[in-house]
Amino acid sequence: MVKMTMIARVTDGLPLAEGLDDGRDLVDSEMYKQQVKALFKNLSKGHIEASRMSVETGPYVFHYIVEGRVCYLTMCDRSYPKKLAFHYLEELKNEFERVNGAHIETAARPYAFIKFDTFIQKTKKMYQDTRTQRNITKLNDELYEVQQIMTRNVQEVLGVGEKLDQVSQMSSRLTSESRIYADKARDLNRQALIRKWAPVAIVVGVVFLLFWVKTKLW
Amino acid sequence: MGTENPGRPNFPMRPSFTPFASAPPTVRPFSPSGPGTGSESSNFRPIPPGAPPTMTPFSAAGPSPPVRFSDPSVPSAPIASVPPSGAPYQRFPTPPFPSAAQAPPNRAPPMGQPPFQPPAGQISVPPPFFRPQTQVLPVPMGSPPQNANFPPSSMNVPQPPTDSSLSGPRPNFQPPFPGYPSKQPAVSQAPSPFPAQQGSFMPPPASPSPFPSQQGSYGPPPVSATLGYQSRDQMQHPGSAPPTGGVQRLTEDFSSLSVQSIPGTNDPGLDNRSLPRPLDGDVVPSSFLEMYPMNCDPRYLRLTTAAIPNSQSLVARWHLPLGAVVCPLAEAPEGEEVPVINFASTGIIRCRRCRTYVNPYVTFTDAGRKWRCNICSLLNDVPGEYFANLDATGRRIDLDQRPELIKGSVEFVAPTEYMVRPPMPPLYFFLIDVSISAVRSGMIEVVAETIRSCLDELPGFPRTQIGFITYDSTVHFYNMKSSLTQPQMMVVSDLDDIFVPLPDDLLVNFSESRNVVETFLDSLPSMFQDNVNVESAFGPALKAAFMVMSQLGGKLLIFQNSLPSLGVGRLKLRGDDLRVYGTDEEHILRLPEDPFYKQMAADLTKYQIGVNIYAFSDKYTDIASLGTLAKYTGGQVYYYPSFRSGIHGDKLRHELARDLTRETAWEAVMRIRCGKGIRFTSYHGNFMLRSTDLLALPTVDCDKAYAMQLSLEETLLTTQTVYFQVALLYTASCGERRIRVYTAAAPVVTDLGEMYRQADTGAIFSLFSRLAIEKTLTGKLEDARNSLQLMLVKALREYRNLYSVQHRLGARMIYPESLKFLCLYGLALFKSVPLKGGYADVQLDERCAAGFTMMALPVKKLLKLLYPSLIRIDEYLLKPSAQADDFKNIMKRLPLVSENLDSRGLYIYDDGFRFVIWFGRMVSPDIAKNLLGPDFAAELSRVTLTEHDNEMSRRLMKILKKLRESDPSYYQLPYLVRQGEQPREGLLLLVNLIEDQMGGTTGYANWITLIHRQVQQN
Repeated sequence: MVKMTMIARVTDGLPLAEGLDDGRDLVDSEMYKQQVKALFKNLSKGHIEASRMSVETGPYVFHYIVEGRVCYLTMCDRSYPKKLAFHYLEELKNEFERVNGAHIETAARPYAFIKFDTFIQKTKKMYQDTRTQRNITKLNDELYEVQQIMTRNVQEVLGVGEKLDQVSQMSSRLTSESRIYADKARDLNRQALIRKWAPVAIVVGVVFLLFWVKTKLW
Repeated sequence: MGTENPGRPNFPMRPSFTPFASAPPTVRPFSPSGPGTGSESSNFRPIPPGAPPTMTPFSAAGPSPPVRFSDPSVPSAPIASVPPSGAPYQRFPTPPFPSAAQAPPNRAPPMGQPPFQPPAGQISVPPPFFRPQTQVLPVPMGSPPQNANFPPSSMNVPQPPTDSSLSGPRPNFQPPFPGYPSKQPAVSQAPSPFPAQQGSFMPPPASPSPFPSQQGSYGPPPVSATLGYQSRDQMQHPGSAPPTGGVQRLTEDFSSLSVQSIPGTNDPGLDNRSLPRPLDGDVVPSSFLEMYPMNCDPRYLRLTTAAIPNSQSLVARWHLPLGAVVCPLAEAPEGEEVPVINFASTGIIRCRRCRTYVNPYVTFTDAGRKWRCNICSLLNDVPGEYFANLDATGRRIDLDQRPELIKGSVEFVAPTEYMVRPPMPPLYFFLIDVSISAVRSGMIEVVAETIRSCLDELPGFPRTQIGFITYDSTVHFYNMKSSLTQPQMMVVSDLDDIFVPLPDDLLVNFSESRNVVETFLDSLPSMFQDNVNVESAFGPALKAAFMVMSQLGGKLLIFQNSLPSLGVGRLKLRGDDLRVYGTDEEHILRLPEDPFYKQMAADLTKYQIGVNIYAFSDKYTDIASLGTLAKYTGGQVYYYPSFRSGIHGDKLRHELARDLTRETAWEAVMRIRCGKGIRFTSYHGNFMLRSTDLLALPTVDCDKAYAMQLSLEETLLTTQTVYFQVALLYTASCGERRIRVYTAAAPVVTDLGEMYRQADTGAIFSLFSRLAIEKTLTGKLEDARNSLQLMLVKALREYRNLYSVQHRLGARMIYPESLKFLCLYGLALFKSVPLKGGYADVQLDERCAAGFTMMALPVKKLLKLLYPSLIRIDEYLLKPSAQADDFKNIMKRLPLVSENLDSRGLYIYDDGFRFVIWFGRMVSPDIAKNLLGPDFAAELSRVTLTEHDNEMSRRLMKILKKLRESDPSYYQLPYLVRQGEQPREGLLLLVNLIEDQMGGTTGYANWITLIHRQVQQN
């Protein structure tokens, strides 16, 4: 079952189209949409190289293909055949490139090709049932090979970017903290010095005072 | 008696006016010496705008040349634009002329002499002009001689074009006059009947009489009159007259109306004809726009007064509502469309703290790197992509490429942050009652036919979604899957636990399922023609529609023909009980009976569903409850009592078509921001308030307006200017998410008089009517009317107190020029359907429907409804040849008094919702025969107006068409009525002649007297 379909531009993560009434019977559709957005962001930053991938998330899987700087992504049940999902994305891609190919780069506003949602809706319905004759033939089609497409976990995928961010964050924290450490060390040094010599200085002072008093009185 | 409307002193707050900055220094500004005290000056004062340097009468010279001469702030500005030579003549030949013609004979000559001496100033020509005039004076008795004399006199002046400039405008200005052929005693009342007079044109033959009489009423203070004359003179010839400052101080900016009742008679002592009437329709004060030319157009945002009080105490003394009326999607005339701006990657520039959108009033500092928010004055950074250098004056060099920095109304393309989901497609869902009464009335047929004819024009192709549910005692769903050849009907009879029988395909993409939809609409009328079911499972059907639509939202159109009788939300015949009226229970009748409706409305709004109700029944259908759905979802109520397709079909057809095809904004929210120290406290109209200041509007269109009241948060405002910004975030039918932003600035004033001067009657009444209607929902009609009256009286009393010291005001009613229609509209509101009378005057359903309608009407439409137009057309119909500009001439509105109905005439009464065509008893049979065809003698209630094959009938139809075109939001159905045909005549027309005394209501003159008396009682 196809649950959700999104098309976005890879260069800046701008959403171009989305299936109509996506996520209608999904409890956490918002959460999944957030994940998709994070995924797009990672793609646009270049953290992920693979142009085809399946990403597992909870009971569902995101399948996506990137072609011509556009990412076509769909979310399906885990039980839904991978092959069929990629067939679906291929079909969307062909139509999308045919209709909007020339304008993808110039699109300036989000959902510039929202009119595409009618096609998404139509195609989605055809792929809804895995047991129709049409889909079964597709499944048996040996030419289209999906086995080598990587399957990763969503945490991993989203983590790539996060990790990089974390490292840079940690290193910057390290510099600032080491600077603080140096300052503090210097401060401590001085204090130690004072603590060490203060009693001596006082004693010497008292002695001198006594001498001075003595010379004054006598 | 007469109306005084002396010029007012200079306009203090006016910022320097760029277009006129190039004024020739020699021309003396208008200001303190102001026009004279004489009432004539009222006519004359505003002329300057009409006197452009080029001789074409109204061309481009003034800031808003052709319009509002009565507008207070106009005068000062344009004067500067007049070149020193010659122009002064042009500027005053006209209005002063008639008055001068009157004045000198009995008071002027001796006193008037000095000014005539050649002025020291630059202008050397005046004397020739004046002398002839005075010489001529004794001659004329009426204005034709004036007319004839004047051009010669002006010919002395080396300025030939003057003539053309004088005669040119005449056709335009003719209209207001002929309606007052016998303008007898006591009219100096310039403002309304003679609005045009203030422009440059000569008095038409009919009007001389006002002026002689004016002397009579004006009589007593000849000195001041002469002085007035002088000072006026002086003004035109700089430096020529002795200073008359003391007297000029008296020139104040109010109008007045003398109200002297003669003891012992019933005569109110008011001349009916002299009362101010809004025969020009809605006049938008333009001073506001002139002061701040970058403000958005008043069609989008109007303030009740364009001068914001600076302290709480001032607010307390301004007894009228203080607030704004916003019509966010008002239709813009061609060429004035709102520019669309896409910031793309920059993101929309907004203030960090108050979220104000960038607008023309923000200032850039720090070499263009920072900008200061005009509303909260926080310094924001300018994003790199938006950076531009400043020129020497501190303006950005790219100003002309940035419409958002020069225009008050702009539209931004919203980036993804402004979307919680992809833009929704336009969605229309129809919920149609198919019970027996609906079938009998023919409603289903008209509806199906209209929807079918509008299919091509539904906005948002190819994404538009469409769906249908019909219901009687059961709920019928239709599967419209595109692969089917005809729709499948599914009946659900379990009303207690309604469910949707099919997950998809009840709501379909219209472009794909077009054939199925068309087949369905074609067969719908016949499908139920034998239905004998009388029940109506309205509530369950509504719930079902909600379930189907809740994924996407959209517009739900409900066609309801009877009282909901089954399932949830069933309503009782609680009826219109006479005994309830006048008790504390009265208002409950006007509130929804069942909490189901309000709850449902809240749910619908949450899922972005807007509801429009079409109600048709001849019996009680509890519009109060049904209308609640429309009220809280930003929709509207259409009510066709006792609908018969043969009679009301056209109206329904047109209004439904308009509803389906007009540009609609979806899933919208609106917020209005304002400067520090003030705050919008209450909102009035059809919407749901989502947080304290966010209006949720599932659907909005150009026919909806929202009103809001504001209050001061701080005791004292320290700023000079207050800014308002309306932002409407919506999805356009084409699938774009956009933000419409309107920005306006208004000055802060310390003077109550200024507030009155800048008042906007239209906006005030828009707010007034909403407040009053809301009041009827919590109390008695009587109470609502009383509180309204109290407000009017308080406001006028406060105003009177402002000026009582300076003037002998004995029996004068004084009011600001800007609010001259205050009393009249107040009276009209009293007599409007939602507020008038009691039990017997209006049916409950009708009252509620009108209330819901008036809560959403834009200002112009509301004023038309309050003071409808009455037009006499028989002369036009009889004229042998008709030209286009003839047409303009006949469009002169008459005061709504029954005296105006000449039994030989044929009149059209138009309130924007219907026409009443009134045939006088002695109207020529020729007309009747031509217009009505063979059944001209029959009872008119049974005759419908159709076009016959003759010139006259075609012309009438053309008139009606023209009138309808002026505002397409509703369709005016013509009702024919003959004089003396009771009770139809009374119900249709006479009741609506609001200036008349009818039954228990007061007439206009009495009303003025009444208000005046109350104003005087301190």
